[in-house]
Amino acid sequence: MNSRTRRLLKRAQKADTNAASELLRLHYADVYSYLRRLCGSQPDADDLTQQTFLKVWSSLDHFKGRSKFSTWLHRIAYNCYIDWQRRNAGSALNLPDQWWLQCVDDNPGPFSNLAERHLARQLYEAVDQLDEDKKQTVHLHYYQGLSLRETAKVLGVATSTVKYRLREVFKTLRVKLGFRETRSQQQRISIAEGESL
Amino acid sequence: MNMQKKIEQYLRAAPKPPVSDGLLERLQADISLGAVKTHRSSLRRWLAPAGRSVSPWRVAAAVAIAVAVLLPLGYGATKLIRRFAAISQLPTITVDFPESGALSPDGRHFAGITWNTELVVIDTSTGEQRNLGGNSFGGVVWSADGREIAVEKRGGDEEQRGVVAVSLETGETRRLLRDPHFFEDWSQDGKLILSVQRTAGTVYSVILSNLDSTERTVLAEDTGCWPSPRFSPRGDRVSYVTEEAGHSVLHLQEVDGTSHTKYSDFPGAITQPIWSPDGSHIVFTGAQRGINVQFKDLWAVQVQGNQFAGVPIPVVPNVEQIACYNWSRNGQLVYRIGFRLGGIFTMPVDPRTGQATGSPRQLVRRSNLNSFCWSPDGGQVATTQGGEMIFISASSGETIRGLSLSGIKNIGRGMSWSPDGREIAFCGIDNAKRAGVFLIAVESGDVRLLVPLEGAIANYDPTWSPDSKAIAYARKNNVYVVNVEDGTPRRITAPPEERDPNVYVTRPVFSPDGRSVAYIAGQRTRGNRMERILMTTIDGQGTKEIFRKEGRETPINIFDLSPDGRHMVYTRGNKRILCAPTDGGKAFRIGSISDVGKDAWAWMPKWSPRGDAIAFAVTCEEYQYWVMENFLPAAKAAAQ
Repeated sequence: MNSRTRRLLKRAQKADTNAASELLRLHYADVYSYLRRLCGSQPDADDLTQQTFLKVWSSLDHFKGRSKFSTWLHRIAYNCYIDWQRRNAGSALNLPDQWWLQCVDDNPGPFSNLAERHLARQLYEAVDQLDEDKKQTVHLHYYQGLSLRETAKVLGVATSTVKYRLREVFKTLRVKLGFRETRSQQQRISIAEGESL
Repeated sequence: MNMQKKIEQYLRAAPKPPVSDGLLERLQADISLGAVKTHRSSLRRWLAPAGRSVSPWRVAAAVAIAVAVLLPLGYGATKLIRRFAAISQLPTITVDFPESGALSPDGRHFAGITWNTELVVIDTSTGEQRNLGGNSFGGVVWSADGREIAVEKRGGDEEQRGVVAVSLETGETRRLLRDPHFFEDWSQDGKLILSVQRTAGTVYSVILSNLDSTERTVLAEDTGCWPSPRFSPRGDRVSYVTEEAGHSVLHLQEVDGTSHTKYSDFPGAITQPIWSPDGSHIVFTGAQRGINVQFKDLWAVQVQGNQFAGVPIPVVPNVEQIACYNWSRNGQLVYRIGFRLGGIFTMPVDPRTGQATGSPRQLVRRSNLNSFCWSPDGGQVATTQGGEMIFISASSGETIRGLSLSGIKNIGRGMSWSPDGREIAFCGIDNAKRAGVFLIAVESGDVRLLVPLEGAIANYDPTWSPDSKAIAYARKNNVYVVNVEDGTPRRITAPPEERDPNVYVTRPVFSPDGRSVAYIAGQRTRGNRMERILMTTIDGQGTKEIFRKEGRETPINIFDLSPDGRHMVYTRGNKRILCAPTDGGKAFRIGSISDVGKDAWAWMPKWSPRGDAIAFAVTCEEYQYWVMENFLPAAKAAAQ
């Protein structure tokens, strides 16, 4: 947690609206993206983001700084999503749209050619079809950029579990995407500085 | 690129879904800082769950839980903690108990004998003090029920003398034993007493007295050292120490004489053996001599039945400054720590006027300093330390060199460096138990006994004549001069039978011209004390008074003459250093050590041979009283 976030948090905990607004501005897009990718619907993502931040404001005084603020925020967002998922289990609303279609088309990014864009779409689709646990792990660690330890904290599991899930994810993705690898190519997945799977 | 890395790259580069229009505004509108609650303590939340006033029912429930659950838990925790080694101070004890003291069986009172022989009892929790009478000596032993304290009374009425039991409640005494010698211990059943009898010099015997039958049994004779006899907690066995062929021997003996076991392999000196309250161990202080250093640690040896089990093991290292008192039945070993701040101090003076020209400065920090002397050129100070004669630079305080005194067992008061610089005279007792005035050669370190004398405490204050041919010393109320060549002493003071028996003579100093010896001649009367410095010619024919002082306290504790003999420096056993002209002029203060410590006192002033400085010793020990619990390895193992 950087010093700016810490200062804003302290002020927000003393009921400083401006500080809370600044915190919101810094983090709402991340939370929205996370929820939008998970729930598959823009209106639902809007609602869940609102719920998330309502919970944030109501429980801000309980945040003791024992983890990063972003980790705590993702944990609340994750819980909101799980609640939402339980409420809508089995309904038609649970069918996600393919968020990546619009995004990849609108934001070429590194996918400079059509083949790569196609591959990326295949990859995101494959991720979306993963088990819920594995999907959450990929979303938090890769899409949201949390470290292994932060991902584990949000999901309430051990760091080793996160590593195990990611290894399983890669096995699945390689199969689904039709990649063939030699044994020598199976190398450690570089996750973040100082961490390894 | 490795496909796995490529997958990772794709995943990390996943684009962010665009945020809906107006979402930020909606979220900002939702910010309700009224929802940011003020933090309330868990206790407050529990006592007032609705956020209003505290519920009396919940308060009552909390009290009930505390009584029903927390207190028993706390009691259990306390018991658990008590199983681990613990050291704690007894801050309520603020009186000095130099020799003996004891914690009551329940640990609530501490009884000890003060410097002025008063038996004082202190409540260890409140610090309240009670004086239970003077003329008290020897050991302090509580009765098993903690209602009486046994001490030895030497003064007062004839009927009050002996070992008496003093009532803690009323202060009344009842005599246990008429002739105790040196009282040491009282058995827990109240029927037996252990004492030490000194027959001559360092010849001690351990005496067991039966209070019912008045039978006396000698358990050990000629112990060679102070035997410190102690009863086991059940009173069926006795431990004591002897010295045999230079080795400390710890004895374990049945009181009925049926069994006697010795432990003689300890590589040092055993002192102060104390029984643990359960009788499973004997703890003692063991001193071992290293190279120029003496180590003193607390050791424990296990006792099984009437045998020692195994060998002693060190349980607390480095207890040099610890004096153990007793091990109370509540498991607390009470001891005293002495912070020794004294040493040798020097102060520059004007040789003509005797006035100080500077403040006192500490040359060396030392404890138990009983002797030192200037070198003839005033450049060094010699003193004793750890079985050596050491030579210290008078300017820097650095130790220059040392000479072994391995053949000397005890060193007494007084030391003097011959004016020709060749020998130093000191008094003491050697390993062959010969007491007297000894000479050590400054160059070779050879030690010889000049004058053999009898005595347990060799405080003869030897002093060299200016021509290095004679030594004057004091013994048994007389001053003697001995010629170094033939070693024959000659008394110069009048025979005791011709003098007032109340007059005592001590601490001789040769006059600068070598024709006379000055010494203290004191007279103690009720409530007053008068001391004179007399000067007697070495042929004993003429005596004159050069100084006189009176007072309720000690008027002159110890003195020295200036090299020209025109002044004398003396101390009174307090913080002041005083000077007086020897022609009858008025005494004046030349220095004070008021900033050394509250109980510091200066003594043994020695005028430097050049006359430009005075060295003096400072004794300063500040005491603290502590208790140790559960420090034996067996206790620790049981706790684990």
